[in-house]
Amino acid sequence: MVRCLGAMMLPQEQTTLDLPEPQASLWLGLASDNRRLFEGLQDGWLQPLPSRTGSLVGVNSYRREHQEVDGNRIPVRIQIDVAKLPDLKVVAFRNNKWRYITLSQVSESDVAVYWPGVLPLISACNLTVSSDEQRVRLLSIGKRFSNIEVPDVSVASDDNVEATQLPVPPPEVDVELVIPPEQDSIRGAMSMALWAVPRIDPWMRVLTASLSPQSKGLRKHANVVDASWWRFPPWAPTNDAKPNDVQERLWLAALRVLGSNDCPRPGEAADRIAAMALQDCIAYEASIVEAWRLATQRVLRAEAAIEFADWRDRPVELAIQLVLSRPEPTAFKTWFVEDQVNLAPAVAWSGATLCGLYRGYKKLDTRFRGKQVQREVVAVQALRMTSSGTGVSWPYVSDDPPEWRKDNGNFVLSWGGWEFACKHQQERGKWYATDLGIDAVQRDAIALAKERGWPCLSRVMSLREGVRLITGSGMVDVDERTMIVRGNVRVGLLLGDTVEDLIDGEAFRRLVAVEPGRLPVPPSSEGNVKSNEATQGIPGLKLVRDFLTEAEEKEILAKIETNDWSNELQRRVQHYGWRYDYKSRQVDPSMHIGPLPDWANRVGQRLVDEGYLRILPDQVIVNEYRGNQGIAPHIDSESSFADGVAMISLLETWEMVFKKRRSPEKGIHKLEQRSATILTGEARYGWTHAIPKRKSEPGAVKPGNKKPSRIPRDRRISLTFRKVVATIVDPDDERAGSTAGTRK
Amino acid sequence: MRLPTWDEVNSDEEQLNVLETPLDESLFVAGPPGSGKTSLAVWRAATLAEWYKKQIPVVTYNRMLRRTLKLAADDNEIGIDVSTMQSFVWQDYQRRTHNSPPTVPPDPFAYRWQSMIDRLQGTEPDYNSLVVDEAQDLPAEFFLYASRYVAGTMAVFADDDQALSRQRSTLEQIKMAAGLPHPKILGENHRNTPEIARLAEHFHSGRLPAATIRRSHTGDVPRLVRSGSITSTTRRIANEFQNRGGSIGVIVEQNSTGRSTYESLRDKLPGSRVARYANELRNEDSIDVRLPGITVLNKESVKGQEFDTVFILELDRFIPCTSDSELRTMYMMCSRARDNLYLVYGPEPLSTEAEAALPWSDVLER
Repeated sequence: MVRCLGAMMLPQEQTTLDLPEPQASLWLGLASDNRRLFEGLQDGWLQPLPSRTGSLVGVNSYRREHQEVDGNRIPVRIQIDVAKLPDLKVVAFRNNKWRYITLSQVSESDVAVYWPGVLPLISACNLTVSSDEQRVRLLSIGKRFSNIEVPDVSVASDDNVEATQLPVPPPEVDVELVIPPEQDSIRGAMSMALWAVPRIDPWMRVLTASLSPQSKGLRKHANVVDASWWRFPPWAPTNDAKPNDVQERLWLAALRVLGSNDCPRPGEAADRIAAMALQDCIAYEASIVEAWRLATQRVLRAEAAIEFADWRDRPVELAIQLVLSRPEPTAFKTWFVEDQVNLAPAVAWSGATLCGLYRGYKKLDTRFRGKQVQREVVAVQALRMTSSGTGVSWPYVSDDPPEWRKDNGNFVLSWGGWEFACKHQQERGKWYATDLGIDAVQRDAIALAKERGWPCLSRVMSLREGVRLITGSGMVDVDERTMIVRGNVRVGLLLGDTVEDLIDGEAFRRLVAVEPGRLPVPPSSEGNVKSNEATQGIPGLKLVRDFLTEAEEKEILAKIETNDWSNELQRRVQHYGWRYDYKSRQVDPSMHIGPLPDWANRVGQRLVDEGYLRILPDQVIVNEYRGNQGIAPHIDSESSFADGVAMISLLETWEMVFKKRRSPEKGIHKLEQRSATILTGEARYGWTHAIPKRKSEPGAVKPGNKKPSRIPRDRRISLTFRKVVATIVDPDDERAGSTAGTRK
Repeated sequence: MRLPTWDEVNSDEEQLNVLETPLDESLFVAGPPGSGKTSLAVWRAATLAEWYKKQIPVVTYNRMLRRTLKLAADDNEIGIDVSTMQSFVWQDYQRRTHNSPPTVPPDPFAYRWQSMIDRLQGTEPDYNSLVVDEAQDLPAEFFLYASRYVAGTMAVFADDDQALSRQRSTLEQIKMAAGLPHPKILGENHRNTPEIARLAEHFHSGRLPAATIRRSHTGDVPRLVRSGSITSTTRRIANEFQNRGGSIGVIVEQNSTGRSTYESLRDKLPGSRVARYANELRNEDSIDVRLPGITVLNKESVKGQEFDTVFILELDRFIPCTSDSELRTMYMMCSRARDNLYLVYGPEPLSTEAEAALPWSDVLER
């Protein structure tokens, strides 16, 4: 059984049973500086210093890596939890002697350990500096780099740094932990594949099968979605691969060229992929490859636009053209959300995965890496898929294949018992899950299939018992099961006879999984939620006047004023329940603060009881807007928060501006003092909202005036209620702490 | 703004020294285009604001740059307060003295610095720190004023290679006026691909050495394109946008070309962001040059901007360069491009002199 989202419902005894005996926690400590830290944080592997084979670390204390910290570098103490490290052979300094033991034999009485090879920082490690100024500076320098995310930093004096040298230098050991170079591109490809996977069942099957040890069932799952080339995942060895067609040939060639370490330029890469695909292929295939090469070169010179129309015949050709046009994942991202929403999932996903392979993990922007648990799992699994990564056994990795399941509109992925990713189901996934037995759903599905010309419809004439008149010059022969028409005939129908469209449910669902284009939201069977103000044009937006009484407003304000404000943004904010990282725009299990305070819980419960929200919110952000402060147009993080966001306005009535994504459509609504504003569905995901930066708000129109008067702004307080998704760790489980994961 | 990876910066000692400068020290940074000064300025202001728990004013040269800084900050939900130097000083002086700053008529922005400085004699700075970007374009007197009356410490970012304005200050003048430490010279280019940087350097004439390229080889060589008409040029720009997306800057010499290019692009790409910026349009607040889409602008407005792809149109009007300032313009325009660069001329062939001013085909593909 996997413990996570549903874990809160388990009885308390049961959750404690499967945990190991509590033991004094052991950690290894390294005192170094910000530069070494950043070097290691890029991909989580801290290489030994030049000319060393390993790192000397303290046991429950810190060992200094350098004698002095140069210039203005920031001294940083790094703490690594022993339970998170593989049980390698190490040398420990015990009773004034070096002894060869394994990591699991290290005890508190050991003074230091010599760690053989690369030191893993892939688990959330604890960092400590000596002053607040250093802390602000360290976190702030970290924000300058696209591929670094600095974990929490605490401030403490540095008394536990061992300044004295050991009487005997550590002996040489065999290097145990080596990271082979191909690990980086494999890990990049895996990360991008996880980031971009189409959120619909058949693709989840392809993804998880592709990550399984022997790619079990992969061929079958890939064929279901017409993506046969996926039977060669970028992370599996392809030496013996036998391509069946030219698309598979190009795919295999792209895996080799884009996954190689010398990173050719796009134009060069196209030539090399073509040359490799041409090996041993027949003349007909060779002409396709050569035509692709020339077309790709024209695309790269902007002489032609990529031709998407015949994507069915050349999906891999297009995927590679996409990657070569946008070799950086950040630019690739807009293919999905802005420029080419009409990409077929097979093309988009294959392209994104190749993009990760080309870029590699070390250079990959942190936003594509997923949450902390995913980073750890992917690091170790990618390492295990390399030639030399198999020998080391990691404490939280198993040989089980990854799994997926659906939970409350999300796809939850787990591997070896660790739930590491949670993907919000989008329109495709919702259509896939709809029940075509419901009339309204079937009607919309038929309309959609007709509009897109999908081959899953048939027309059926249903005749009641009786005689029909046949006219026209043709002839009709009818036997028990067939009706043969020669020439043209007309059949007169009786009242009650119908001609209707029938939909083949299985074909429809397959088309939902493979066809390009953004889909409309499927009809839902959920009840209507009430709203007391019309918000035409923005489906899913509700404005509820006087949601709070004046007394409640006063009481809540009083509570808020007694709490500390955070100054991390231009405006002051308070976070309850969970902290939110404005840089990475996500919530990590380590950011859980605790349960909501009483007042917030009461308001959250009322939002649910009165039908405005479906799930009880567990995070509240209080925003204070003063004078001309505002907030830029944004959509609340889709990966962090569930559907259903409520904003409650206190103190003043200000306007909010809504704008539809990729459209000039706009809407302006007053957020009345004490009102609740609810965003669900399209209003939540398809529209940005903003508070304009200005000094005044429009007031009432006075008699005789055409324009409303302006009321100067003073102060507005907004309470945002949201539900954190992918609550991977049981928030009540203190033992899980910042390690962000629980085991089977 | 694109952030570098750690490996792209880890051997850039000067940049690291800038990043590691303690928060209570003044900072003076100079560097060529692409070394990331603007983004460092935003970053420093945000860091100082977090440390002092108070907003830190940021001052720059023109409105388009102010917009760029603001957007860079908004991106990260960083609160900074950006003004042009003219308006910052006007408001600061007005607030302290309840008088407008004295000016030399007829120019309402030609401040009489000496009399302003004299008038404020004996008053104290009321900000913890001040951040200045594009300092080379600001008068040295401003730095005297700022260091005495505005802030206790300053973080000043300058470039003495691309000054296009009349009021320019040298690094030495800035240093003396503001009482700053020696400038840290950023010597590395984190913006352009090596392929683009090599073309830009072909036009390099500045006093600072050309930057060392830090980005890895991921881009193709810049291309020289002859185009028969505005329509064929804009078709290519539209292709590029459809294929690569991202932000595209189209630089023109004449406003009339800018207008017709803009109109043709707008017709070809309905539903995408196509914008034209010109100083007289005063429309910078409605443009976000970093968003996916196309911005048409002239050589003056493109300064300080950065695009994924740049098309320089009317190349025949920019080369051959007959002065240092024309070379600087070519250098500055080429170095606006991060990943892809096209030089476009036509319909007439290039003159022999213009042809001779261009590098070989290994640097500029034909």
